[in-house]
Amino acid sequence: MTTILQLTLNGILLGGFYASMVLGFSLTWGVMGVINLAHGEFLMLGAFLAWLLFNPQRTDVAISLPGSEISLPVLALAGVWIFLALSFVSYRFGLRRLASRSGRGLISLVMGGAVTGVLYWVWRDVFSLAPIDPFVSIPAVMLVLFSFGYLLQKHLINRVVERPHLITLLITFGISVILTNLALLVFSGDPRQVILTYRPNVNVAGVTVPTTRTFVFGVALLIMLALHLFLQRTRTGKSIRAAAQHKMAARTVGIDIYETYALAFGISIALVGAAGAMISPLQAVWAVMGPPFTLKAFTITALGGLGRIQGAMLGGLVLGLAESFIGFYVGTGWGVATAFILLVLILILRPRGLLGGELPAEVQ
Amino acid sequence: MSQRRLGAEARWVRLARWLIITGTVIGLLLLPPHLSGYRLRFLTLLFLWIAMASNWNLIAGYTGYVDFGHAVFFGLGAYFVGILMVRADPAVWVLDRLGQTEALTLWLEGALAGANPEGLLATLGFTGPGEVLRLASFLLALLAAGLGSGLFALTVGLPTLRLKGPYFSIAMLGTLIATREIVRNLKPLTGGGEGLTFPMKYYPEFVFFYFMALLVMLLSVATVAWISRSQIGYALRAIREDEGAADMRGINTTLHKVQAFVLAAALTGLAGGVRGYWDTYIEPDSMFVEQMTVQMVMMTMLGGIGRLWGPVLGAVTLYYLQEVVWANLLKLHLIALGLLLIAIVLYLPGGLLGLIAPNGFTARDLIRRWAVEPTEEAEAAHD
Repeated sequence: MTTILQLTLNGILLGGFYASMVLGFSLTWGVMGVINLAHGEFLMLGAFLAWLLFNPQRTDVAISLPGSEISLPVLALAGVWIFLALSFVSYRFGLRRLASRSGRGLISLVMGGAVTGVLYWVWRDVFSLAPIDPFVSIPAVMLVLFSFGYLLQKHLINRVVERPHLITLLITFGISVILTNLALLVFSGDPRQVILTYRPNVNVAGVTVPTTRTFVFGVALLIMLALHLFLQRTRTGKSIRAAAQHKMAARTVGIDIYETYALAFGISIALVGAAGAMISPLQAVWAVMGPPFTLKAFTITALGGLGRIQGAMLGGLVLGLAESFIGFYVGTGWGVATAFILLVLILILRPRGLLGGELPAEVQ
Repeated sequence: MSQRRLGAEARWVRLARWLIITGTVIGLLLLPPHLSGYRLRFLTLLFLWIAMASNWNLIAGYTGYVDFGHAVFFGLGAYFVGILMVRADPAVWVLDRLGQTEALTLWLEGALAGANPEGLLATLGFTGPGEVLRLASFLLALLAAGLGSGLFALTVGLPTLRLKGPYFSIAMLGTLIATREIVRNLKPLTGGGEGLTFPMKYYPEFVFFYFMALLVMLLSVATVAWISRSQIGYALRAIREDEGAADMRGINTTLHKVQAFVLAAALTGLAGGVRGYWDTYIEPDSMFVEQMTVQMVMMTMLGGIGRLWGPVLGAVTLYYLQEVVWANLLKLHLIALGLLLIAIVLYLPGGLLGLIAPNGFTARDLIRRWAVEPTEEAEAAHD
């Protein structure tokens, strides 16, 4: 009995994480019909960024190019990313009315630099470069990945978003190959881990409640709530939903479709980056961790139906519970196989997902 | 240019095409003694890649079902051969069932004793009866690998080929990842994560693998050539263009899709079997790799997807590029591959063939483009 309770709890906690991990995937798919095969790789980037901020003293991360070994201090890497992200975000959102078009770029770079500098100064002098907990670094991770995703969609994926599925699949496949190998180049193939100190688990009536996983679950719920409110209440959220529902109609009422796509992709990548930061204390962080997550994201989306948060939660729970139980009774190595078997079953039996998706799945 | 004239030219082009193909094949058959080991290995791998790219092209290019997990059949082929050769000795098993082992061994000994020491078997590294049996075992196992991969494709394909577009792609990617995990977990049969080591007692000369790879390549290209000209090929293209319409016109879409998929899988299984025996050591992480699918996709896209010679041209170009240019940039190589993939998709969707011969190697097209400066009159007549 305790075992079953324990397994159920583990499954639910895992399911919550899966649900938040899959939101971004479901969003890009639902809004612009792009199936992001690089989803897992963005999760990997988020995890690595969290790892970098957690290990500011590490200097063994190097970019090794053939012939020379350029060693880069970890902080410089993270710092440059954050600097660029802040500049970009201030460029995109803050400076529309502040400066002329030509001056905007420079001002935003200066602003980004200033904010990064202040943040770094606070970190160095007030907190003496203490490791930043992955849960605390989530906003930074989201910021960086948002900018990355926005630019990627704006300059690359928007060019092919109207073309057949094969093209967008190939493009995102290409992105995933590039990201994996860049990560291999920068971080080497060694698995890394974020080891948190608040390890002690709580014991409730014989059931162990793992602290970190519970934190992950809580943050995942918060993120889901935030996304829900964003999509329902804000102007941008509404325009994203409008673009998803009917492209032409959305255009007719004056929504800039491609800008909306870029925002949606940025948000999607930011969400998966947050999931990556959250997973970093729970599993090894390394360059090839991505593909199973892409597969799981696809499974959950297929389970829960497209484009709804409840669907993602349900699909995540089903997969989490299935993995938890099968992992215990069959063997831990079967998690991915579980996801796959679930996927094929659901695609054949209930092609519109368990709840019946709003958008018909293109399945016979 | 009159119609009659064009017909005569077409005959010449056809003849030239046959001469080129036969000449190339004969050349490749006679080549091994003149090549260094390195070049031989290069060609062998190239043949396997051409075969795999052609197979991928059959299901993705002709049928329009973009299979992102096609490498699974490569791995399965290697594992079928590996398991059969490690856990059983198929030729000996068959002969034992027939009660002929000793008789055949004796006969082989006699035959080999009288054989020309410079003969074919000796060149391939087979000098004793045991080795000939080994060869027979391998060939049987390879056959089983082809059949097994095809059968696996049948069981996987029947449900997954009902899925359309990206659903099929991801389901196949899932098949690849899941199969790798399953192979890793089925330790008693597959050796798990430690992999399988082939028995090294008899290992043929390298030329043997060269010929096997050549055979697999010819089989693959010939299959695609045959299919593209046959009724199945037209059915497949109809499915690619509009499956619903093809269905309405009375094409048995399920049958043709499954046919193409099973053929592509079985031939890829053969390539995997050859590679597995050549490597003599297989493990899940080296046999079921997504990167292998990337290569197949890249080669096909680069050459020209949905064209018979596309994957061949693409595989030769890309593999040569990789070997020559990127040998020094080992770590950047895959990043370059990804960038190249994106560049091709954006700027060269028809591939290299789309540049050279956009309408195929037909007499009309070739003559118009390369042989004769078209006069205004001929242009007008053509239009």
